[in-house]
Amino acid sequence: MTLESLKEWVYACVRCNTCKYIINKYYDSCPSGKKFQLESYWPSGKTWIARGLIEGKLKFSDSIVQKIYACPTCGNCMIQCELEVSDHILEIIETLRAEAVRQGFGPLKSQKAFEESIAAEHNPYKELHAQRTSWVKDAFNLKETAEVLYFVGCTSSYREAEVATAMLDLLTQIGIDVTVSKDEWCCSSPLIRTGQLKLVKELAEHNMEMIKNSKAKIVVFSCAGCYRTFKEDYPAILGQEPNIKLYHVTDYLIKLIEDGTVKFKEDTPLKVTYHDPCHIGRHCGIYDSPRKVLNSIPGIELIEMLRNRENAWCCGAGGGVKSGFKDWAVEIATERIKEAEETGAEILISSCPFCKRNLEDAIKATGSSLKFMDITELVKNRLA
Amino acid sequence: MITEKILNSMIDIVGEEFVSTDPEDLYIYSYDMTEEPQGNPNAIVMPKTPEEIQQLLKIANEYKIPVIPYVAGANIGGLTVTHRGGMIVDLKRMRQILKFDAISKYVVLEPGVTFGHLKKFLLENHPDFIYSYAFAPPYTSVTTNALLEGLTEFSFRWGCMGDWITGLEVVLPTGEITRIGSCATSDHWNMKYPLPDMTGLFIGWQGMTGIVTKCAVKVVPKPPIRKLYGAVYSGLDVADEVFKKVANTDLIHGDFTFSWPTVLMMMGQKHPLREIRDDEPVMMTGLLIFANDKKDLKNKERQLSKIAQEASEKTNQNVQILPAELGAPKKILEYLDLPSNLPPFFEFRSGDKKGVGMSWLGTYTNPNNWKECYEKGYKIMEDHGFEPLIFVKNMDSGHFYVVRFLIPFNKAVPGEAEEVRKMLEELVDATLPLGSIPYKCPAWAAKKVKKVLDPAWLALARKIRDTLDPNHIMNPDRWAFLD
Repeated sequence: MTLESLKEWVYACVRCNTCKYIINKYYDSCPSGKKFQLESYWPSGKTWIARGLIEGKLKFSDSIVQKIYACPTCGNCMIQCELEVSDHILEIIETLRAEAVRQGFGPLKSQKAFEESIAAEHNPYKELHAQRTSWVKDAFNLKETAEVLYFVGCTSSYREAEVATAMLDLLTQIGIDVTVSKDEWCCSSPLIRTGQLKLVKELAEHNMEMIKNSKAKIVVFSCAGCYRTFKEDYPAILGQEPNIKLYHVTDYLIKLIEDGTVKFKEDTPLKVTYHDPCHIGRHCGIYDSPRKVLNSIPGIELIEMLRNRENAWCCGAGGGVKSGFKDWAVEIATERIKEAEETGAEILISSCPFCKRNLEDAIKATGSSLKFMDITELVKNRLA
Repeated sequence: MITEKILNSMIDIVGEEFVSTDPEDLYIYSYDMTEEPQGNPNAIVMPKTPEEIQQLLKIANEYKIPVIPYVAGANIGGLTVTHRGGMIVDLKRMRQILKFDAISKYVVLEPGVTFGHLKKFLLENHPDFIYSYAFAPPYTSVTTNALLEGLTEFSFRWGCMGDWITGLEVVLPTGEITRIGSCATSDHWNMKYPLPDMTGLFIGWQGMTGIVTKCAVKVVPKPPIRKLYGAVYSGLDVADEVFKKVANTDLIHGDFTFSWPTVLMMMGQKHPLREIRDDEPVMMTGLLIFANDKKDLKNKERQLSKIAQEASEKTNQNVQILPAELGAPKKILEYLDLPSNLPPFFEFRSGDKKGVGMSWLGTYTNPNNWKECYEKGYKIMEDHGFEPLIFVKNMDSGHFYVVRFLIPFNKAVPGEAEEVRKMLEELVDATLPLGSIPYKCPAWAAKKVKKVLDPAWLALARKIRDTLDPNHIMNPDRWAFLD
């Protein structure tokens, strides 16, 4: 996408303000506007920045970069806006970022490191590629090829390995022919979300080749961001739909619960609440599966937060915010933690390691007694 | 011109993050949804307290900087677009609901409180009370709607929203903070009287006499029964007869009348609209009845039927009135559950070229002339290639009417905004001699109003402005006849 390609949509926002709050419920929906308040930080303002750039009345600057990157690209605005432009708001923001990079203004300094690290080591965390699967226990006895490939993602590989371990434990315990690949590379989500597109095609092509070599028929993801990237971005990048079945773990678990592969034990009652990750929720429409999974576990009582499903408040980590605006990211997550606490739940469940990372940071920052658990960890603990 | 020194003073007052001179901020605030040409401010500032506003106005006076109050910028009159530069004072951060009094039935709001947030507050905390919401998207300011004499769902019974104001706190252009109404004597904000009613110094002045920092508005008890009826008319005469008759009863609390093309638009049809058949109604009204119980409702329904029958007999035209749930399309009922978003209005002319824009000429008019106003406007709109999307409303039990010409347009189509302005000028020229006055009046229209204004009125208005705002810093583009 180029700035010029947005021309079709930049006159389609009337600035009616409807994107700013949850329609008919009037709760906050936009982390960026709520924090910074100036019109340029709200979704409509970003659309108008694109318009000003296209009209030649604005030029890229550091202040524009600050505004277009101050957004976790959660997509809540796309749910609340009822005009035709609603489906294009994220596209506008991501195209603005890509154009900022192309013109030498973006991304934010801390985000530039992603590209360097991914180019060198195929992950944004400046970790050695050779260490990517160091979390894999020998006991898993993984083969080179298998029916199912677990695409782990960089965050679970290097920062939240308990999610990856729980996932692999879970799949092997129930007898799934599964493997992970040492040759997995970053899915490219951190690059796409921050407008750094130079390496993206190479990463996508590599990962598709890696999947082909694994002989897998199914790819399962525990990371919402990776899943979104494969499902929504790869077809456009590669010019074709991936010729393989892609499942987020919550959808995959439903399949396994329904065919009797996954069975749960009776266990102590537990009140939980569920946080919808933006990348599988609003971006891919997965709302029911995680809830069905939770409701099928004996003893689990799911209590919804005030803002849930398509209206869920973002965890604040996505869109480069965790790296670009560290304190603000935790501030956004803190609002979510408070909302989770109000439910009376003991455990906050989600299904994304990046949400886990930021929500746990907020739990620590606030001293909350709430515990966080990835859905894979809960399911693994409750297997019969 | 805002120098670095002035800018630093503004930053000292509100904090660096709430002052901007970034070109992209100035650009965004330089337009609204109407055809008004671009007008760049010099700075945006977002205060949080009356004291901060006080300090900002002192600076503005010292350096003669225009000050433009702003909340959502959705007034449909170009009222926040400045053509003399200056500072936009964006009041969005002031969004507290400060007080609710169930006995005296009022709520005190900061200017950033929107219809949506007031509705949420009442539903969650005082579900036995309601406010009268505008036919507008939810996130527009309650205070600015009232100060701009806007109309809302219950205006049939209780008039325009300026009449709902019971108290104000205002930062005057010269920086003093004052309270207007009974709140000037105590913390009770329920009465404008019996002190001299000075709310008129601020209502309808389009922000030229100060910045309102607190506004008390009435709330009303939720009626036990609220029921919507739909009326369709075969001609304007029968509509006129029904309007006049219901205004002389206590049957109705709210009404919205739409020309038939407007009804088609609300049902999802887009520009260009198909031709209206002769056997189709000319207008449709939503009539809102409040009732104490079923018996009361039945009685009111009977009276309404009688009025319809008598109006038909008198005019030889037909009117049919039915409970809305039996006849009105679901979409229209959703739009009338206020406040509501209005995609079909905004996107009516968005076609292959995606573009939105919204303008109108809204007039408060004499009930004797509304039909002529409507018919002249209908023709002018058709002549300019715009569908006659017209809205009529009975105000304050028939003391005056609203005739509003709605003009969705497409900002992506070159020349369309200019055509809209030409049409608006013709509409003002046609309706002004009939006793109609534009509300939320744009500056260009104010110049036309000047031609029919009593010079003594104008002299008084200028005297008031000079007294309150000796340096003419407050929103100086507005009410252009004061220059």
